[in-house]
Amino acid sequence: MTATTVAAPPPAADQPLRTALRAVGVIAHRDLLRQVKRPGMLLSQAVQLLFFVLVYAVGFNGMIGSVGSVPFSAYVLPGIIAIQVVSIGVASGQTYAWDREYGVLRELLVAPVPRICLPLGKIAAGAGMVTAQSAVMLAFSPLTGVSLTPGRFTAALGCYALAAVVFSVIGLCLATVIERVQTLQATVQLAMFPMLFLSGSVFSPQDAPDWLAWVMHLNPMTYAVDLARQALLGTGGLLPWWTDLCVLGAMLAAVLALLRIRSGR
Amino acid sequence: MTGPSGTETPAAFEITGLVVRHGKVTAVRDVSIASPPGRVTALLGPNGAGKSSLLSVLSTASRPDEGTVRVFGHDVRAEPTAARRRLGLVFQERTLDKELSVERNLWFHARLFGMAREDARARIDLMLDLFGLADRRGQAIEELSGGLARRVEIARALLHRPGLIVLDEPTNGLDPSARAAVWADLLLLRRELGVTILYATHYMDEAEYADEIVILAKGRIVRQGSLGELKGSLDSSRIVVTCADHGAAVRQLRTAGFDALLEPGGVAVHCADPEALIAQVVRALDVPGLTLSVHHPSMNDVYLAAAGHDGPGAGRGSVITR
Repeated sequence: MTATTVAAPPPAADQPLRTALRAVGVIAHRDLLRQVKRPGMLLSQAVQLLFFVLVYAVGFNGMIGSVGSVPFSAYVLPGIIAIQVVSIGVASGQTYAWDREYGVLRELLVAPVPRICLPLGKIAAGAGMVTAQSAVMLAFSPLTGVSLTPGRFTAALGCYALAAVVFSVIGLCLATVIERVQTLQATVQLAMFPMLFLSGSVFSPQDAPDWLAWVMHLNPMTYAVDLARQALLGTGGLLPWWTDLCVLGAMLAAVLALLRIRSGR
Repeated sequence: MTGPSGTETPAAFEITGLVVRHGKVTAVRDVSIASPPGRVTALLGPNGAGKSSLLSVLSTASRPDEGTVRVFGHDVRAEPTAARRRLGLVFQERTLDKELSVERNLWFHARLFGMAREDARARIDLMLDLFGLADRRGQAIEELSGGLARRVEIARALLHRPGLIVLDEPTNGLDPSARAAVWADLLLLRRELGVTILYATHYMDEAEYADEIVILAKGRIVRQGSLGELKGSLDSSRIVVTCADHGAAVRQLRTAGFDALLEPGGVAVHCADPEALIAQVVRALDVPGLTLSVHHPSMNDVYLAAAGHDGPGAGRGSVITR
């Protein structure tokens, strides 16, 4: 070994965009690899989903029958998938906190790439994984009475991908603001249950008392559920689909801006 | 700095008037240090001296409150990405992904630092060979000992061909054999690669590997220079006499014209060249159970003097018993 072979000059810097995209890809690859190495986590997510399907789409279906012309099992399925998407999306933000806790984040923060690449890579991994899970769930949706077409499948998958990104960014923002892992977990748990169940996922705000419907309209997940339900079932929703889309888009812009500020250079 | 061809060579690092605050606490106060390429610099100081805060700014992990910090001419505030490309970092705490293998950790680092796939593979093979990790490449980090994990971190820091390696207490928490192995690696880097090294430590013996030692206390530089310069700045070379009657030894030495002092460890004769005087001291004494030893200032003496302490911790040279 000679000094020249080991201490040769560093490679020239790439184009900034190419560097940033590669960094996002590397971080996403790393996070996906870690998820794959934890099959127990994927299994527990599948069990949770199965539990929701059994309780709501099977159990309540016999009692409630239908909502309008749609069987209750089909009505509730977009909400059940949204619960899965949102809970996993927000939880994926917590990996940022664990990376910080175990010191891994420190190494990533001093890599010669814009710092925003780190959360974007994590979002790509978290949202990508949960979107893939949504695709599997959607493939089984005809079992609940959903009349699935390729167009509806694609539209619903797009809705879930958007929701996964929005809620992954929210989870990451929380992780950058709340530094203690235990406090973060407690905060997320506290926020999750009202957010998941007061979103129209299992009952419509139209059937709720006025004050509760008002609260549900403050919940960002309500718009994700409404959009996905319209896309998958093709029925009229709580709000026009473009309103849901605008609310989610505006929310994404806001949380991305916050994330950019919190990430630094 | 001017290079051999007359062109300006930027310093490997140049810290000027650095101030770092953590809330109301000022961790680093007006510190200025620079190093030409190829030099090894040690930052020495007790816990809370400001070593880690200084390295944190140099590594671009945090921003300076005042002053400028440049890495190969790149200001860490204005051009953090360019500065990061020239830095190889080994942090005080472990920063490897424990669930991933040695090779995966190196791979992701190489790709994050913009290395092409082929180049990354070749460099990983080279580093694994250099650090004796080739047979561990597929092993998860959590299965490695602390010393081996540290070795992986040093290999990772070198992977992208940095000009400056910064190590924050690299042997912290390691057992003596692992410490020795880490220093063997670092001395290899210095000898074979000629990279610039800056490291923080609170072990006195580790500071002696450096060309330049900077002693920090309460956020300020209290002593700076080469090992020889720092030891030479202390007038504490001495012959120490122990015997059955220290009072008689003091009287006999003073009668012979020596400036003898009774100290907790025996009777000390302070002088610039103890080896030249020891024979005269032996001849001047007629006391039972006589033992003489020559002491030169150690890094510990330098450190204690710099920190404003008095201490008996002088390094031992030779011992004569009669």
